[in-house]
Amino acid sequence: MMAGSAPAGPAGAVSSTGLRPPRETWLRRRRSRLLPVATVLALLVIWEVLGRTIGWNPLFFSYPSQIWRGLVDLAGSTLWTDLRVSATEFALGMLLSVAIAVPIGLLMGTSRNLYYALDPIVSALYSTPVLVLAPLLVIWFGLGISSKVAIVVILSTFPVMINLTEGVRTTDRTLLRAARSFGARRRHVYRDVVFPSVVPFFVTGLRLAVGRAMIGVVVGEYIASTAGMGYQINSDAQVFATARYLAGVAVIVMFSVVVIELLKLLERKLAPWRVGTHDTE
Amino acid sequence: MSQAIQPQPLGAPAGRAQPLVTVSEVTFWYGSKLILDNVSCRIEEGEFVSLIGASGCGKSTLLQLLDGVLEPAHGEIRVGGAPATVRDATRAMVYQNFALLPWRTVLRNVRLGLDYRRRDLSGRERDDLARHYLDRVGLAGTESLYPHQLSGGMQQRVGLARAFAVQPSLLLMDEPFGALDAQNAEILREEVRALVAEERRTVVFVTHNLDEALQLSDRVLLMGSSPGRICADIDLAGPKSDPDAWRHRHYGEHRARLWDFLKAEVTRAQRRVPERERR
Repeated sequence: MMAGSAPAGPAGAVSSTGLRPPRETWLRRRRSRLLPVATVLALLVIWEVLGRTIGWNPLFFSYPSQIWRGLVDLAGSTLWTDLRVSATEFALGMLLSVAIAVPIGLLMGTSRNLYYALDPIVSALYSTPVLVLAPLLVIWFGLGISSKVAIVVILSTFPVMINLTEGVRTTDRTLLRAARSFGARRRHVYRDVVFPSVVPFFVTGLRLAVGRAMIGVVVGEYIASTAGMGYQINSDAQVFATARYLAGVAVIVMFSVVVIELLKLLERKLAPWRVGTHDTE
Repeated sequence: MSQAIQPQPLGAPAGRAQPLVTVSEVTFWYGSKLILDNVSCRIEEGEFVSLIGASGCGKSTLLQLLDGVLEPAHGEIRVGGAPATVRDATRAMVYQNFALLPWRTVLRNVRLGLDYRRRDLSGRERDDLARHYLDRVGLAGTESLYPHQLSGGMQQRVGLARAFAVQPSLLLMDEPFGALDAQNAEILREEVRALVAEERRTVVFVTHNLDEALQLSDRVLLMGSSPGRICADIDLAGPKSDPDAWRHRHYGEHRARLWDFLKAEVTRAQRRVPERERR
């Protein structure tokens, strides 16, 4: 009986004839980290070189070093205010979306009747480009933060809701049966089986929602606002300050990357048992 | 703790008053499909009973009815004197695909039934009890691993520890070795046999494997399919004085009898027009 031994064999074991396992090179072992960095750096270099040699009109085209200068310029003026406004809209919108989506999503997953009643509406609203409602929302909620929060909510609620519903509905029936068989009451079944198995679906929903929320914030500000990253981008684009405009885009890209990384961290916190079950990402 | 881990056979009646399990005229439908048709049987305390039949004959359904998670549409099932759906008499199930909670560590998986059923024990006592059975199936030291870090054989050991930990008056096993490779299945079979004997558990065991049934059981119930019903009740337990030798002597004869029946059943099932919409 293999009491307590780890499932994998001992690492770096020497064979009976004194052989060692083939060594992985330093580069090979770190390729999942190095390759993405290398691609980004290479693209930046190519972009920079092309930008400098071809010498296109700076009104229509820019390249990394100029964009960096634009960024420094922005940081000295309105960047922090704009970033704060956009981040607030994003955060409030996401919070509200989650607050609405979680109870409804869970209920729709639990109750067949509710699912049949609401699924057509939810699916329709999820696949409709609800951004077309943005002008109306601006009329209702004004130029300030609240109209953007509203846009984020109508965009981001549905992916979270749909994924939660799906998660509850696809909970492994054997596990539900096992828990009940071992004496779990209804609330135990939810606490110990349904909720944990829904976590990955929840995180997937959040990931989709984040992307849509970013679009909501920026496009909302683009349409009508007095501050925010979308406002800044729009105004710089209109006066052909292309480097500053692209610097704003770069800030949005970085913001999204940070949020996505935070989400991965959250998933590892919420679902530690999944560590090692999926090695990609 | 020492008295907590003593096996407690549920209310052994003085003088063979009643069997532990009585199934009387049970009929069950899934939707409009008749799964079990007028099934009756009784199981004495301490018996090891195997259910054998072609796939889709309702063996697993019968097991879930005994577990009380399903309710018969007609007829009655009593376990330890009470209806099966009243869940006083503890039962525990061992599943073919283990059914461990992926988000619980090994120890907390073994504790599952204790956490729901043995609120009279403190957290420490439940831990100790779970550890005792984890140790008993040879998995000491794996307490804090997650199921996906274990091999199939080890996962099923966790499943066994979880079932034995609640010290059930009725232990239900649904093809517990069906998902394991032949060697692991053989090893686990021996261990289950030892555990059941040591703790004097009453077992209902579903299997496709004739030799498994012949090795382990005191009695085999042969089930026919479409609709599921009990066709034969074969006693494999010999005289109390020398059970093993008796079992040995009659092995071939019993096997032939079981196989004749099963072969006919399976062939019959294959010839039937496929109206495949089981579950």
